[in-house]
Amino acid sequence: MNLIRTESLSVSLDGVTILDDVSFSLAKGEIVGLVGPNGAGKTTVLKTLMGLLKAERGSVEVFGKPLGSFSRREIARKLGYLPQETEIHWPLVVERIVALGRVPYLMPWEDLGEDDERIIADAMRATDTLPLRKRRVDRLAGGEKALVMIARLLAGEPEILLADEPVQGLDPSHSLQVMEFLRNVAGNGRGVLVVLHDLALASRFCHRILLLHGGKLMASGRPEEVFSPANLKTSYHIEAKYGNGDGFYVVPWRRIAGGSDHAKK
Amino acid sequence: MNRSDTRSPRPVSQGADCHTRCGISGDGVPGWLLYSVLGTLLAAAFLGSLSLGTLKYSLWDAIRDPSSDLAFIFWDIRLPRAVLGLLVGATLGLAGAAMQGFLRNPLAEPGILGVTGGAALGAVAVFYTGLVAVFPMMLPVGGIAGAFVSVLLLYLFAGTLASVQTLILAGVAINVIAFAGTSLMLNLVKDPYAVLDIVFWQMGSLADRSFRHVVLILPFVLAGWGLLLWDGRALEALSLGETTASSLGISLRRLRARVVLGTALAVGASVAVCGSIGFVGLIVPHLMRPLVGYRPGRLLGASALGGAILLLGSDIAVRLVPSLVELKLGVVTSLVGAPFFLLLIFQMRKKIV
Repeated sequence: MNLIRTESLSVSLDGVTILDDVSFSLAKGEIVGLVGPNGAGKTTVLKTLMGLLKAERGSVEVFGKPLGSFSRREIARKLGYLPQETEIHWPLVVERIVALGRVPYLMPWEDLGEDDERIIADAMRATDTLPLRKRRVDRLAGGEKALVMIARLLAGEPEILLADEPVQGLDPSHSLQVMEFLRNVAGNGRGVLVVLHDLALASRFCHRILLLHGGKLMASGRPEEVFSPANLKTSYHIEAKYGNGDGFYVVPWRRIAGGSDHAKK
Repeated sequence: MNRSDTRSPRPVSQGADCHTRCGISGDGVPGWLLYSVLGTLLAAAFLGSLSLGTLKYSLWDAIRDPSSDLAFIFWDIRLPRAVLGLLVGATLGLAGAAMQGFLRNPLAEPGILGVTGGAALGAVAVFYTGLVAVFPMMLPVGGIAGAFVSVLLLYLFAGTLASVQTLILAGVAINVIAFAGTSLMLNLVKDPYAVLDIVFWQMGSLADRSFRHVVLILPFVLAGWGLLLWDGRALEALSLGETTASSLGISLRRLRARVVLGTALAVGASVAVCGSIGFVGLIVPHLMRPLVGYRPGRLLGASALGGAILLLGSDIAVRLVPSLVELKLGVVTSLVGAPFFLLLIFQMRKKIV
């Protein structure tokens, strides 16, 4: 069953076309990597799926119904969004940050109920952040903070997770932890759409890859199909080394001379 | 990479030292403890405001005999003064906390950002045009209109995530405009006594107000409180930035509308009756923040209570301090508040460098 389906999706910001005729789907149980050079429109895809940006043309369907037929609150319950930049304006304790995941379920006068507390604790347990729950978020290391933000995402119990560069700035161990975690979440009957710059992680962990280039969907399919030498050359202007020891993987190797189109952006 | 890091110094530094020094856990003190302490202090301040002053009397004597002079002092002077202190103090604390949460900036405050100045201009305009003599209701309405225009201007010019500098400068500009407008009207008034009246009123005071004033502003103040207290959860979500808050189902447009309207209603009406009383909205949320675990939502109620306590306490102090003329409350809060403001700026500067 498709959790998300877009058909010829186009989005413009201030008259500039950011996404052009993008069609893809996300099925239950799937983790799909959204890759592409800087400025390809990856974040715009996620924001449009969240209803934060309006589609100019084309359609977005969530659970088989048009996105517009859901209220903002309903979208917030079904889709969890992890933005690229972790903005935290006050030094709240970890537990309070994770509790913010319950916001879509609470009316302004309601306090967290027992169920909410249990879900929050489960989310922290799943991400190994339970021991940090009384720590102030400004005193966490980068990897810990990333896990806390994922716990916040999980506390909303979304069926669809949209994560924008969740491994940005993380060491290899934490990167692997986050990716393993996201793949497990997808395995539990949810769908994950994850923006990644690290092609090695994308090729290792994602069932399918969407390669965006200049706002268009250049390729989509299994990693070994999408990360072809030709595709990497056109989109990133790079050559890669391929491996197949324990599943397919790709490692970016060298830039190709004359690849100025990418550099200009 | 992190917008808040580069554009506005993170409030993370605020009170961090106190927090370790006082041994308060990261999540603040438990709610029941906080509210019972604040509640007790508020009750004490309210009773103190009723019973302390140049004239010493026992509350019991005043209430027992309704026809006595003491009863008159109690019902017509002390009680409205205490009730106004409660309303205005809570308003200033609450509005300060809401603005700080919404702008994610610990230096936001109705006075510094020009909302109080705008409200004063609106109220003076109502005085000046003589409307107040015909429709007393126009006084809070004028104050609210002035406050409303100021908050709108502020958000228009500074945006919602302006740096501290931009925000304070926008506040300075709005204050200057409001002050110029007020001066212009004072300039044009022919009756020197009327000028004096306005000047003294503007200094900010709870003295010589009656229940008429309380009734005049009560509906506006309560409506404003309602709008601001409604926003606790949305302000908490906003701790993670506008994008995350939106993705959690918060409508930023509606939130902004409620904060603007709530601040304008409560602060505008309060200023119209009691003049400009500055810095309460700055000091109180700052003191309360570590106690509520830095949560912008919990901060609202705590700051409302704290604001009422601080204003009632200051008003008692104003009455008890021996001086030839009774000091104006607004003068005292500014004398105490301005150095506090400087200290906060100094602390932030240390953190940035």
